[in-house]
Formats: sequence, structure tokens, C-alpha cells
Amino acid sequence: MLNDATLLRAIEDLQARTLQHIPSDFARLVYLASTRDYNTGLYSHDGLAYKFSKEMAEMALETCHEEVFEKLAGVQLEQFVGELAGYLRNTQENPRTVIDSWKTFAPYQLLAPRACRGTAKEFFISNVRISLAVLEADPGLYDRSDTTALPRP
Amino acid sequence: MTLLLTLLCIVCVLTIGGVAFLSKAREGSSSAAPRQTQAELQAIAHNLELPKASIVAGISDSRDLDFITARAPHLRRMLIRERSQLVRGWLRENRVYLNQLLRLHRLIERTSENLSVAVELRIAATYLLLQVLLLAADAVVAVAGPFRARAIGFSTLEAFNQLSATIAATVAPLDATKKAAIRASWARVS
Repeated sequence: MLNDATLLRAIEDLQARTLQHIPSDFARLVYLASTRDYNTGLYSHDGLAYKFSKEMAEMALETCHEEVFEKLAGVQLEQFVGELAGYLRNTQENPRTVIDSWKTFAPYQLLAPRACRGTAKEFFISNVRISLAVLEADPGLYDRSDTTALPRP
Repeated sequence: MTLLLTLLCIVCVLTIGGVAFLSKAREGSSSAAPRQTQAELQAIAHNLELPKASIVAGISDSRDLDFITARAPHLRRMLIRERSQLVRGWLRENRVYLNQLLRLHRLIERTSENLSVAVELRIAATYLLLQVLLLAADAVVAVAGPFRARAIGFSTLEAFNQLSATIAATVAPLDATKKAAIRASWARVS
């Protein structure tokens, strides 16, 4: 039986054990979107499912995904570029490679939660596209040695 | 030619008057009201959607243009092009929402016994105003760009809020049987 109190505990658990340790909202969004199966659209998290239930884990992940997305969708472009720059700074890969790969394969199109459609989803995708163009033109914004370029997320 | 000019003048007067009226109404309106209205309408039309203020606020925020102009001026045209497409997409969505809202109103009308002429006139006038605002917003985007469409976008939202609140008020006095009948009809047509 799914209930609000258990869902709240599952969300708190997810935030405390996992999301809190991810350095930025953009990175949290990428992580949460990656817990969703491309084929079924269902979220999965073994630890959370073991502690609560599969359905509760799905709901907690979807709720957090929507919350993080809403937060990012509401920021100005300058902050959005800062978020993406922060994500690039913290990724283990070469930021230049990530930008090229994102421009080629556009994986950011899969970052929006199911509930977000239409113009809201297009707005997010457009912001990523423009931010990538800004960062491509000015590598100083995500340079790991230069942390003063834009406000860090 | 004279007829065309007269029509243009009427459209301009309606738009300016509508924007001024709605701007005044917005100052005194509560931000919680649309959500409550939406909940009331969704109780009988589960998949009914209304436009969200956050989207128009984001896509027409001129601070984004200022940022791009300062940081990456070569991307200015890209930003304007993308935002123009987004505003047009938002306007298309609004036309869909408006049609949905009117379809719901027709279902309510058929079930209601005590139709008020004043309420029906208000709904018709707001519907017309919305159509004019949507057309005017399209024109503003084409002529002056997406960031100039902000005020008219918010006026469109305000008109939507008024229309949905008026329609929601016609649902409130209906008894549970009639509401269930509307819900069933809505499920069939949507």
C-alpha cells in the first residue's frame, strides 16, 4: 500500500544518501534521468527498492526528478550556463569532449521528466543548446583552474 | 480599404483596452486563485490544462538577452530565433487550451438549467479578447521579437485565468449527478 508518509521517507532517504552528495542541480538532474529505463520509462534504484518497495522507489525518484527539473527550468540563462559549466567542471571526462558529444547526440533531450511536455520541455532543451554554444565559445567558463568565471551552482 | 482600416482600429482598441484592463486586474489578483480554479475544473475534466506563468516568464525574460549580448554577442540571433519559436509554440499551446476550455463550457452549458446571460456574455467577450491577444502576440513576436511579447503574454495568462474562473463558477452550483454526467461526457470527447 503506497502512502504519503512512506513516500516522504523514501524521498528523504534518496536526498540524504544520494542527491546531497551530487555537487550541482544539473548533475542531480542527469543522475535522476539516468535512473529511468529508456524502454519502459520506469525509474529504478536497487537500494531504495530494497529499503522501501519498487513502487515507492519509482515514485520517490520521479518526484525528485520533477523537483530538480522545475528548479532548473526556473533559472535565468546566466545561472543555467553556470549550472552546465559546474557540471562540466565536475565530470571525470574532458569538458570539450562532453560538449562535442552533447552537440552531436543531444542526450539532454532525455533529461526532462515525463510530466514536462510541450513548450516547457522545449524551453529546457533550448537553454541547454544555447548554454553549450556559450561554453563552446568561452572555455574559460568551465575551466577547472578558473573558478571565478561564473557563479558556481 | 476603409473597412479594413476600421477593422484594424477595432482590433487595436480591443487589444490596448484588454491589456490595460487585464493589467489593472492583475495587480489585485491572488496568485493562488488560478491553481484553485484549475483544480475545480480538473475535478470534472481530468486532463484539462491551463497555461503556466513560469513558462512565459522564462521564455520572454530580457535579462537572458542582456546576458548573451554581454557574454556571447555572436549568439544573439540564435537566442532570438529560439525564443521566437518558443513563444510561437506557447501561443499554439494556448489555442489548444482555449479550445479545450470552450469544449468543456459547452458540456456544462448543456447540463445547466439556469444559464445566466451576463455570464455567457462575459465568457464570449473574454474568449474574443483572448483570440485577439493571441493574434496580437503573434504579430508582436514577428515584428518586435520574443522579448517584447512579455506584457501581452501575461495579459493572455490573465484573460485565461478570468475565463477559467468564470467557467469554474458555473460548475460550482451543479449537483453531483450533473457533475458526473459532465465528467463522463468529457471522458468521451477528450
